[in-house]
Amino acid sequence: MPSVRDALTSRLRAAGIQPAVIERLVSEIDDHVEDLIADLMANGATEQRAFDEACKRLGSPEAIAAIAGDHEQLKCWWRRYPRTALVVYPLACVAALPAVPVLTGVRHAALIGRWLSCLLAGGIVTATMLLVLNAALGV
Amino acid sequence: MPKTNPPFMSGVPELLLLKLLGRREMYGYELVKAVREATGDAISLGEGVIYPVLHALEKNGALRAKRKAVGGRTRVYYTLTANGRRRLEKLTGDWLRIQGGIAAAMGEAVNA
Repeated sequence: MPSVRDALTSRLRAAGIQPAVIERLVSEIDDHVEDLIADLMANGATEQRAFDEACKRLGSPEAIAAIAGDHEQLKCWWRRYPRTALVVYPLACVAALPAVPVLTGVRHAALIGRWLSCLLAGGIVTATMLLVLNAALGV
Repeated sequence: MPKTNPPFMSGVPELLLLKLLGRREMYGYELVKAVREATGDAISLGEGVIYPVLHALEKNGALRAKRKAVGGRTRVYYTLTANGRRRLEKLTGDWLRIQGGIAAAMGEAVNA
Protein backbone atom coordinates (compact mmCIF):
# COMPACT_ATOMS: atom_id res chain seq x y z
CA MET A 1 0.00 0.00 0.00
CA PRO A 2 2.88 2.48 0.54
CA SER A 3 3.34 2.91 -3.21
CA VAL A 4 -0.32 3.87 -3.66
CA ARG A 5 -0.11 6.22 -0.67
CA ASP A 6 3.07 7.84 -1.97
CA ALA A 7 1.68 8.19 -5.48
CA LEU A 8 -1.53 9.73 -4.16
CA THR A 9 0.34 12.10 -1.82
CA SER A 10 2.59 13.35 -4.59
CA ARG A 11 -0.35 13.82 -7.00
CA LEU A 12 -2.29 15.75 -4.38
CA ARG A 13 0.76 17.91 -3.63
CA ALA A 14 1.18 18.61 -7.32
CA ALA A 15 -2.49 19.63 -7.49
CA GLY A 16 -1.77 22.22 -4.77
CA ILE A 17 -3.96 20.63 -2.10
CA GLN A 18 -3.45 21.86 1.47
CA PRO A 19 -1.06 19.64 3.48
CA ALA A 20 -3.60 19.08 6.29
CA VAL A 21 -6.20 17.94 3.76
CA ILE A 22 -3.69 15.61 2.10
CA GLU A 23 -2.77 14.02 5.40
CA ARG A 24 -6.36 13.27 6.42
CA LEU A 25 -7.48 12.29 2.94
CA VAL A 26 -4.64 9.80 2.51
CA SER A 27 -5.26 8.32 5.95
CA GLU A 28 -9.00 7.92 5.20
CA ILE A 29 -8.21 6.25 1.89
CA ASP A 30 -5.76 3.96 3.67
CA ASP A 31 -8.52 2.92 6.07
CA HIS A 32 -10.90 2.49 3.16
CA VAL A 33 -8.51 0.12 1.40
CA GLU A 34 -7.97 -1.85 4.61
CA ASP A 35 -11.74 -2.26 5.07
CA LEU A 36 -12.21 -3.19 1.44
CA ILE A 37 -9.42 -5.79 1.51
CA ALA A 38 -10.84 -7.27 4.73
CA ASP A 39 -14.32 -7.52 3.15
CA LEU A 40 -12.98 -9.07 -0.06
CA MET A 41 -10.90 -11.59 1.88
CA ALA A 42 -13.91 -12.44 4.03
CA ASN A 43 -15.67 -13.26 0.76
CA GLY A 44 -12.94 -15.69 -0.25
CA ALA A 45 -10.42 -13.58 -2.18
CA THR A 46 -6.72 -14.15 -1.66
CA GLU A 47 -4.71 -11.31 -0.18
CA GLN A 48 -3.11 -10.40 -3.51
CA ARG A 49 -6.38 -10.58 -5.40
CA ALA A 50 -8.14 -8.52 -2.72
CA PHE A 51 -5.39 -5.90 -2.92
CA ASP A 52 -5.59 -5.72 -6.73
CA GLU A 53 -9.38 -5.45 -6.64
CA ALA A 54 -9.22 -2.76 -3.93
CA CYS A 55 -6.78 -0.69 -6.02
CA LYS A 56 -9.05 -1.07 -9.04
CA ARG A 57 -12.16 0.00 -7.15
CA LEU A 58 -10.39 2.87 -5.46
CA GLY A 59 -9.57 4.56 -8.77
CA SER A 60 -6.22 5.89 -9.88
CA PRO A 61 -4.32 8.45 -7.78
CA GLU A 62 -4.52 10.75 -10.81
CA ALA A 63 -8.34 10.58 -10.84
CA ILE A 64 -8.59 11.24 -7.09
CA ALA A 65 -6.13 14.15 -7.32
CA ALA A 66 -8.02 15.55 -10.32
CA ILE A 67 -11.31 15.55 -8.37
CA ALA A 68 -9.56 17.15 -5.39
CA GLY A 69 -8.08 19.76 -7.72
CA ASP A 70 -11.56 20.62 -9.00
CA HIS A 71 -12.45 21.86 -5.52
CA GLU A 72 -10.77 25.23 -5.06
CA GLN A 73 -11.45 25.29 -1.33
CA LEU A 74 -9.12 22.30 -0.85
CA LYS A 75 -6.17 24.08 -2.43
CA CYS A 76 -3.48 26.18 -0.75
CA TRP A 77 -4.20 29.88 -1.03
CA TRP A 78 -1.26 30.46 -3.38
CA ARG A 79 -2.75 27.97 -5.83
CA ARG A 80 -6.16 29.63 -5.57
CA TYR A 81 -4.80 33.12 -6.08
CA PRO A 82 -1.55 32.64 -8.04
CA ARG A 83 -1.42 36.27 -9.21
CA THR A 84 -1.73 37.57 -5.66
CA ALA A 85 0.93 35.08 -4.56
CA LEU A 86 3.26 36.37 -7.29
CA VAL A 87 3.03 39.84 -5.74
CA VAL A 88 2.83 38.89 -2.06
CA TYR A 89 5.70 36.38 -1.93
CA PRO A 90 8.45 38.65 -3.33
CA LEU A 91 7.21 41.52 -1.12
CA ALA A 92 7.19 39.26 1.93
CA CYS A 93 10.74 38.12 1.12
CA VAL A 94 11.97 41.72 0.78
CA ALA A 95 10.19 42.67 4.01
CA ALA A 96 11.70 39.70 5.80
CA LEU A 97 15.30 40.53 4.75
CA PRO A 98 15.97 43.03 7.57
CA ALA A 99 14.49 40.57 10.05
CA VAL A 100 16.84 37.75 9.03
CA PRO A 101 19.81 38.79 11.24
CA VAL A 102 17.44 39.28 14.19
CA LEU A 103 15.78 35.92 13.63
CA THR A 104 19.15 34.26 13.19
CA GLY A 105 20.31 36.00 16.37
CA VAL A 106 17.33 34.64 18.27
CA ARG A 107 18.11 31.16 17.08
CA HIS A 108 21.76 31.48 18.17
CA ALA A 109 21.07 33.58 21.27
CA ALA A 110 23.24 31.45 23.55
CA LEU A 111 26.25 31.65 21.23
CA ILE A 112 25.86 35.39 20.72
CA GLY A 113 25.47 35.83 24.48
CA ARG A 114 28.76 34.02 25.12
CA TRP A 115 30.48 36.06 22.41
CA LEU A 116 29.19 39.34 23.91
CA SER A 117 30.26 38.23 27.41
CA CYS A 118 33.79 37.51 26.12
CA LEU A 119 33.86 40.90 24.39
CA LEU A 120 32.74 42.60 27.60
CA ALA A 121 35.26 40.69 29.71
CA GLY A 122 38.02 41.59 27.21
CA GLY A 123 37.00 45.26 27.39
CA ILE A 124 37.02 45.23 31.20
CA VAL A 125 40.46 43.59 31.33
CA THR A 126 41.87 46.08 28.79
CA ALA A 127 40.36 49.06 30.65
CA THR A 128 41.70 47.76 33.97
CA MET A 129 45.19 47.29 32.50
CA LEU A 130 45.12 50.83 31.06
CA LEU A 131 43.99 52.24 34.40
CA VAL A 132 46.77 50.36 36.25
CA LEU A 133 49.31 51.55 33.66
CA ASN A 134 48.08 55.13 34.01
CA ALA A 135 48.30 54.91 37.80
CA ALA A 136 51.80 53.40 37.64
CA LEU A 137 53.01 56.12 35.32
CA GLY A 138 51.37 58.74 37.55
CA VAL A 139 49.56 60.40 34.64
CA MET B 1 -33.68 33.65 -18.38
CA PRO B 2 -33.61 29.94 -17.39
CA LYS B 3 -30.75 28.76 -15.22
CA THR B 4 -28.01 26.89 -17.05
CA ASN B 5 -27.57 23.26 -16.05
CA PRO B 6 -24.30 22.16 -14.55
CA PRO B 7 -22.32 19.66 -16.63
CA PHE B 8 -24.16 16.37 -16.86
CA MET B 9 -23.46 14.09 -13.86
CA SER B 10 -21.52 16.80 -12.12
CA GLY B 11 -22.93 17.25 -8.65
CA VAL B 12 -24.34 13.70 -8.58
CA PRO B 13 -21.80 12.35 -6.07
CA GLU B 14 -22.43 15.41 -3.92
CA LEU B 15 -26.20 14.93 -4.06
CA LEU B 16 -25.95 11.24 -3.21
CA LEU B 17 -23.58 11.83 -0.30
CA LEU B 18 -25.75 14.58 1.17
CA LYS B 19 -28.88 12.48 0.75
CA LEU B 20 -27.35 9.45 2.47
CA LEU B 21 -25.79 11.48 5.24
CA GLY B 22 -29.19 13.08 5.84
CA ARG B 23 -30.32 9.70 7.14
CA ARG B 24 -27.46 9.11 9.59
CA GLU B 25 -23.78 9.84 10.17
CA MET B 26 -21.39 7.57 8.29
CA TYR B 27 -17.70 7.16 7.51
CA GLY B 28 -16.26 6.89 4.00
CA TYR B 29 -16.34 3.16 3.49
CA GLU B 30 -19.89 2.92 4.86
CA LEU B 31 -20.92 5.70 2.50
CA VAL B 32 -19.50 3.97 -0.56
CA LYS B 33 -21.38 0.80 0.34
CA ALA B 34 -24.55 2.82 0.95
CA VAL B 35 -24.21 4.54 -2.46
CA ARG B 36 -23.84 1.15 -4.13
CA GLU B 37 -26.87 -0.25 -2.33
CA ALA B 38 -29.00 2.86 -2.83
CA THR B 39 -28.32 3.10 -6.57
CA GLY B 40 -28.37 -0.65 -7.22
CA ASP B 41 -24.85 -0.37 -8.72
CA ALA B 42 -26.28 1.93 -11.44
CA ILE B 43 -23.77 4.61 -10.56
CA SER B 44 -20.19 3.45 -10.30
CA LEU B 45 -17.74 5.93 -8.90
CA GLY B 46 -14.08 5.36 -8.21
CA GLU B 47 -14.39 4.75 -4.49
CA GLY B 48 -11.53 7.10 -3.68
CA VAL B 49 -13.30 9.92 -5.45
CA ILE B 50 -15.81 10.46 -2.66
CA TYR B 51 -13.16 11.61 -0.20
CA PRO B 52 -12.23 14.87 -1.95
CA VAL B 53 -15.97 15.54 -2.35
CA LEU B 54 -16.53 14.93 1.38
CA HIS B 55 -13.66 17.25 2.26
CA ALA B 56 -14.97 19.96 -0.06
CA LEU B 57 -18.46 19.67 1.46
CA GLU B 58 -16.92 19.94 4.90
CA LYS B 59 -14.99 23.07 3.88
CA ASN B 60 -18.25 24.55 2.57
CA GLY B 61 -19.90 23.90 5.92
CA ALA B 62 -22.34 21.34 4.51
CA LEU B 63 -20.81 18.51 6.56
CA ARG B 64 -19.14 18.18 9.90
CA ALA B 65 -16.36 15.63 10.38
CA LYS B 66 -15.76 14.00 13.72
CA ARG B 67 -13.13 11.41 14.69
CA LYS B 68 -14.51 8.47 16.61
CA ALA B 69 -12.77 5.40 17.98
CA VAL B 70 -14.73 2.33 16.92
CA GLY B 71 -13.51 -1.23 17.39
CA GLY B 72 -9.97 -0.14 18.16
CA ARG B 73 -9.77 2.08 15.07
CA THR B 74 -10.27 5.77 14.61
CA ARG B 75 -12.73 6.67 11.89
CA VAL B 76 -13.84 9.99 10.50
CA TYR B 77 -17.63 10.21 10.66
CA TYR B 78 -19.49 12.78 8.58
CA THR B 79 -22.73 14.44 9.66
CA LEU B 80 -25.01 16.74 7.70
CA THR B 81 -25.22 20.32 9.02
CA ALA B 82 -28.12 22.77 8.67
CA ASN B 83 -26.21 24.34 5.79
CA GLY B 84 -25.90 20.87 4.25
CA ARG B 85 -29.67 20.32 4.52
CA ARG B 86 -30.28 23.55 2.62
CA ARG B 87 -27.74 22.49 0.00
CA LEU B 88 -29.45 19.09 -0.28
CA GLU B 89 -32.85 20.71 -0.82
CA LYS B 90 -31.43 22.94 -3.53
CA LEU B 91 -29.59 20.11 -5.30
CA THR B 92 -32.65 17.85 -5.06
CA GLY B 93 -34.77 20.61 -6.65
CA ASP B 94 -32.20 21.11 -9.42
CA TRP B 95 -31.96 17.40 -10.04
CA LEU B 96 -35.73 16.89 -10.21
CA ARG B 97 -36.00 19.80 -12.66
CA ILE B 98 -33.32 18.28 -14.92
CA GLN B 99 -34.81 14.81 -14.55
CA GLY B 100 -38.27 16.18 -15.47
CA GLY B 101 -36.83 17.94 -18.51
CA ILE B 102 -35.01 14.85 -19.72
CA ALA B 103 -38.04 12.62 -19.10
CA ALA B 104 -40.22 15.02 -21.10
CA ALA B 105 -37.69 15.11 -23.95
CA MET B 106 -37.35 11.34 -23.95
CA GLY B 107 -41.12 10.99 -23.96
CA GLU B 108 -41.33 13.27 -27.00
CA ALA B 109 -38.56 11.32 -28.71
CA VAL B 110 -40.37 8.04 -28.08
CA ASN B 111 -43.72 9.42 -29.31
CA ALA B 112 -42.21 11.02 -32.44
